[in-house]
Amino acid sequence: MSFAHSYYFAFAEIEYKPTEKRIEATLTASIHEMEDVFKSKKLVKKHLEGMSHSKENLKKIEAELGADFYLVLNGEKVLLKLLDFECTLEGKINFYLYRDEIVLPKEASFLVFKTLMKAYENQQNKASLIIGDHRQTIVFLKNSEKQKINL
Amino acid sequence: MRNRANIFYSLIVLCVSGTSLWAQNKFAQLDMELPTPNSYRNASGGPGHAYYQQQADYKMDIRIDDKTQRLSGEEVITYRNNSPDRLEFLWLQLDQNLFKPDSDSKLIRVERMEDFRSIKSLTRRNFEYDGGFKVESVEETSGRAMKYFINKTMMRIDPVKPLEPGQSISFKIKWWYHINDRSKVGGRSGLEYFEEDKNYLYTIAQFFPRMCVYNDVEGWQNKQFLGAGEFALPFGDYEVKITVPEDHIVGATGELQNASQVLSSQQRDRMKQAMNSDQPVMIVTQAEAEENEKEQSTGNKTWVFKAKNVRDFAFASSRKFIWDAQGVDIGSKRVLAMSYFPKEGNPLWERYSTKLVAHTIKTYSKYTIDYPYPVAISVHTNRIGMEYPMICFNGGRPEKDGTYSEGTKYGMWGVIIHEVGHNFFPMIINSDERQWTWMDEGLNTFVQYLTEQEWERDYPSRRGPARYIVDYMKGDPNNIAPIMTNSESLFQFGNNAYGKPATALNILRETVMGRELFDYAFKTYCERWKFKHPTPADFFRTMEEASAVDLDWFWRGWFFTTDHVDIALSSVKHYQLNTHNPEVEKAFQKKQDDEQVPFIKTERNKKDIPQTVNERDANIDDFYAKRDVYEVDALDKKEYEEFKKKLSAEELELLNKNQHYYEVSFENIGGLVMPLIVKANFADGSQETIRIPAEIWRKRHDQVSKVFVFDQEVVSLELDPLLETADTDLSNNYWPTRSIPSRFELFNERRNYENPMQRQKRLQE
Repeated sequence: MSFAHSYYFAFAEIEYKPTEKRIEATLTASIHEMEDVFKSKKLVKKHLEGMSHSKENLKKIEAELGADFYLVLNGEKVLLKLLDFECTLEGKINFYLYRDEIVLPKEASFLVFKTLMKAYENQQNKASLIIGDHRQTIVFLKNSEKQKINL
Repeated sequence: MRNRANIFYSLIVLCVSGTSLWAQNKFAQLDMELPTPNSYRNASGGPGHAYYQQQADYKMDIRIDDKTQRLSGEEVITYRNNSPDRLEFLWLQLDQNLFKPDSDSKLIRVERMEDFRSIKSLTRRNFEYDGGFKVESVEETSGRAMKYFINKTMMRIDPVKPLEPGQSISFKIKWWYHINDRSKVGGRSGLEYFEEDKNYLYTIAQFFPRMCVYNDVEGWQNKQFLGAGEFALPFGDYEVKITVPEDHIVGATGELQNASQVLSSQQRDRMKQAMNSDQPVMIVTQAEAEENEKEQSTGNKTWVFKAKNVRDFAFASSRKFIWDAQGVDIGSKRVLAMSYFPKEGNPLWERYSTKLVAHTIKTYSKYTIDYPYPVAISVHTNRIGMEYPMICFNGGRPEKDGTYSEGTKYGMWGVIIHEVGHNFFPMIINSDERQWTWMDEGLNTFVQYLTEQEWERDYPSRRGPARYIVDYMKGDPNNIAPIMTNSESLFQFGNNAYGKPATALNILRETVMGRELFDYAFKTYCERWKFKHPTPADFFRTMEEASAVDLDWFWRGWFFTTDHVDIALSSVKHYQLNTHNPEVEKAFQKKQDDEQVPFIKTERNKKDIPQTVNERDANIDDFYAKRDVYEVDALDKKEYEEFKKKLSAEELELLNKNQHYYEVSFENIGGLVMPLIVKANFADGSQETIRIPAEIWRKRHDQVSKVFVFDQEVVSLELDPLLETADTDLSNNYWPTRSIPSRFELFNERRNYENPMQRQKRLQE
């Protein structure tokens, strides 16, 4: 059997560049699954591959992604901006996100990553955080959608 | 770091008892984990001398009511007990009961109120539909009622007398159910309704009470159908009569028996042409199918199919079907590859489906066993991909305007190859999907990868290459499960049961065993277990026995744990042999000393202390102060000549080679032991790759070192240069350290705002 859901982790690679005070992130998910969610919200009519990369569309996607994927720093929600997105022939979609003028507090940095969790019962997400030589990989489940960044 | 050392080094054996014990576990044999070989399944991984399997033959009359979308049937099952055991009762699968309102699959779903924040989601949550079996009767062939009991998705039948070894029993079951609309309630089979022409397309499977497997491993299969773990059934012969509206076209498991009654003479002629053609021939054209769609006739027609030695039966029926076919040679046989699809599948389906079917059975036959059946069929239905013997249902639908994305095309190609490939795993090599999803999905995804790569060079396969499993495997192992986990308890079904085992087999083939050894052993497994019921142990044992490669460490790490691969190239020390030649060694020493970074005081004292005492007073410096330590004197030369006289010719040659020795240390961070693949890059641009078997970790699992000898000085070293081991952190794979750009940075570097068509337009201007 194929084409069934709950087949992929959504995966995020997030790098913080302290000298530039900048966060750069790549959120990767299955095109198939993301397309279903976007269709249900009327963000896309046909295929994500054919969706225009217009500023208007990027704004809509940015808002949709931001509902389930964001930072919480010192108790405040920090959304990332969508630079662009890209579909691969292997069936994945990458969303490229960033945010400038960010200072990560040592004790109160959290990541919320619940992308696709409402749509798919068994969805699990995983994030790799990178600051210089330090790396942290965190798994996000339905009951643990918010996790502390320990870097 | 550069060191200078003598010819002979003392060897420090790093052997800590606790560490050794732990390391031993990684390479310990799987004796404790695998069942003890016996007369049914031997230690080689093959069927034992007392191996047996049951036989279930079916004669069925099936009817689709197109007005009510109801499926009804009467079946006579003849079950032969080939086991050495007396059977007091018989168990059957009632998979369709998954669609009963009170099915366990719904009850065990974990829910939170926040999952239902919209009216739409609540409506979906509360949607009630009874698609379960309505069993009307279970009778002996004489007509006498039999005692039976339905336990959710299974039914027990109690024969009047136990079924003794070697005995057969025949009985009749009458049933019906509402065919599920896949767009509303999902399902591997069901109906699809086309609003525009008001027609149905039926893909019907898991639709009749089917005998469970009884075998030496678990007696009667006794695990309920919860939706994920599919099924395993005994082999048998089928004769099935399918009554459908007379304008329907039917494709099914097996060979059509009454072509003269259900096909026109033109269609029969086209079938003959197709059998002799290596290109698809239309049996029903799109124009004919579109004409057919308009009829909606009220009469019925009965199609008759026979299938020998299959483990299940499925069919598809619609008046919308376009139908094409071509012949394909498999061994000494000619097989008919066919596709059935509505016009909504075109232009993709007419162009590719049947060619993909032919390519798949041919390629799989090369790597596994010769495709044994007379037909292989791909049926188009929206989105799903699902497999049955000789027939499968596949997605991949173009837009209504006839265009399609590249992703849709590759998705359609992939799903057809995958589902047709399932004929081999598990339809013929009949593993128990309800217990071990990986045994069919994993092995099938692996051969799918090989088949895709033979369809198009550098085909963008979704699973198989080692680097694609990295995101899944890295990090916290607590929320993933080992491959050796029951189908219903897996986290991340696709990665666990499809991606990881396919990747593991690919790594075995390319990196651990090599293609020749792997392909031979894999084919041996397929030959041994075709038309039989293999278990994981049979696969593990056969792969080792047929290759003479102990793979227990590999099965243990990749299949029984959630460890991941992260091996670091942690340190590099450079050595060269002491030549004892004073001309060479003293010059080398001078160069080393000259290159030393001066202390800060040296520079400052030059300015602050214009003259020291010994610089002012010539009587201060004695022999030690005046001698030139770098000068080569006669005694040095004599001692060198004496040293050379003591060496053999071979030792002297080694000394004169001036080779470079690199002691490289490796750290195992992820836990999985893997071969070390080290590429050395030299100053002149040349390269050398050394491949070290995983057994280097056998005494110590966390850290090992290896000395490499090169004729030239190395400028850089790379670990796993071709990304073949699924190493999850590449940042520690290089010497000198190399910065790995993030995905964001890589995208930014190649970012291009033009779409390919805009670029083409600019090119033409």
